[in-house]
Amino acid sequence: MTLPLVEMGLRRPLPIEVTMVTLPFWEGLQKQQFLVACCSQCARLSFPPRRICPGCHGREFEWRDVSGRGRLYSATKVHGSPSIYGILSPIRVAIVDLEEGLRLVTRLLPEGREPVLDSPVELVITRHPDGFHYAARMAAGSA
Amino acid sequence: MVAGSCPRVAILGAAATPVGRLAPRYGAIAPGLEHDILAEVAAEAMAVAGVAPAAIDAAIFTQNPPTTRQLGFGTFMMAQLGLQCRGLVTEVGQLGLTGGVAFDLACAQIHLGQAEYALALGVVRQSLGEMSTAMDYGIRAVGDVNFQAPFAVPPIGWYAFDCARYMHEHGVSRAQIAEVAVKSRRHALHNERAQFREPLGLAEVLAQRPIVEPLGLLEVPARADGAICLVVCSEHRARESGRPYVTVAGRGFFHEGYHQIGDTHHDMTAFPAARRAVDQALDAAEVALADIDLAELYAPCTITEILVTEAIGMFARGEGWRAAQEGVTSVGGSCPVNTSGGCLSRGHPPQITGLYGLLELREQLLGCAGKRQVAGARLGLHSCELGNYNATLAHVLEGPR
Repeated sequence: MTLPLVEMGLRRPLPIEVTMVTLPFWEGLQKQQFLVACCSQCARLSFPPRRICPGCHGREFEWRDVSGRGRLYSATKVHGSPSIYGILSPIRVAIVDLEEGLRLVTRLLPEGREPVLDSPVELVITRHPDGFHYAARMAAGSA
Repeated sequence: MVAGSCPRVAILGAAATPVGRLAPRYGAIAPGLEHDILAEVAAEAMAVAGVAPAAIDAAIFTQNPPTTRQLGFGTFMMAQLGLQCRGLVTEVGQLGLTGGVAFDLACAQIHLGQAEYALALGVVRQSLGEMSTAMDYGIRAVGDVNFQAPFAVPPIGWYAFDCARYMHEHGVSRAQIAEVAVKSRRHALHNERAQFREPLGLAEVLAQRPIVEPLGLLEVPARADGAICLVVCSEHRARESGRPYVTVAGRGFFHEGYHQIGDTHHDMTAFPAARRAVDQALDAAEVALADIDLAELYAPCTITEILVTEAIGMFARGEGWRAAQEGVTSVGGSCPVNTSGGCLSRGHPPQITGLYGLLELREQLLGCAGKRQVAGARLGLHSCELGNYNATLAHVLEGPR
């Protein structure tokens, strides 16, 4: 599934340390894919990617791309973030429940719109001057 | 620990500074560094207990905040106090659980027979620190550094997520939740150790600038300093001393295996670890929640107090917000909660908040809480937590028996 691409003027908020555990995820973003780890033994999905499956302690994973469709579980707007985060304050952040059963935290776009919990959201890939990242945005037509 | 079959641990002495600002104003000379402040408090606690420094066998220090310049703090303090210990000297804890863990380990020293008398103590002086350093530390402590921290969610941001979800699920307004801040301040008016002691109304709470929406400035804790020391020993020794003391009747702990949130869909505001730990503590004390006369529950934000009281079974899910408004959790109500003023008004020096909660219970159970005294208080419940109540440590304290 190719996810929508959103151009961002600012650098990514923090330097990201890419490791062998997470490399395929970050490479996936460049192809506009959001990859999660699926345990080869018990099929449990993990995000962020890990070395050990928390469900069965399996060590083999396959990468799966998610649809990006989900539901807004909760949201807040954080005022006064530390300047080192390089992002404009205030920032809206969300807890997103993906239709594949995963839950994650990410930035919520657009900044100007009041979020309505339980309404549909979609993951987007964001392109910054220093690389790719991701965010969620309220799906078109949602309340 | 099983009630009755096992000797109990007693809190024989205690001392603490008021919560507030221990750092000097700009340009002023500091009254002392962390170790100076704590040394004075520890000496006072030992004097209250009537225990000579030579009798102290263990000292469990709370881990210091990153603003503390003196490292190796616990061992450095031993030289400040001239203590020689055969039990254990160490710094312990993680996040909000820290104060409770220091107390728990000091009690364990007594149970294990490794100490006759033990100290649980700590100091927080963070008011002089850079705000962005403190926030950066907080953000990295409560989120995955590569996958959550980049979105800059501070510790209180997770409670804001709870609050937004609770409002959505139960149709409750921010104002109804904010009543907890008003109630907390009412309690703190009568606590000479409280950080904020001016009367506070609901309109003023709601008029403050937003911090982590929907929560505003007075619905989240302010930065706070403090220093505190508790002296524990066996109940046998405490009785011999002829001094007033309270005992630990039960203890419970649970970690739910999440860090803030899990990566699967689940009920974020249920706080299951709180229920498990409190049930375990009540069972160990052989009492029911209905027997508890007052509770000091770790609750940095208004919403947190509501969620933890619901989680432990004090109120039904979605109903806990009514308690502050209706006076149920006030002094004089049927289950007073956070009579000290709690994190919002007594104040929240995170690493030692747990010790301040235990101190409030000690004073209440000894009948010396002055104008905020809960009449006839005999059993008190304490909790502290980390994350989004992912882990909870609970203690039941009992007054003179």
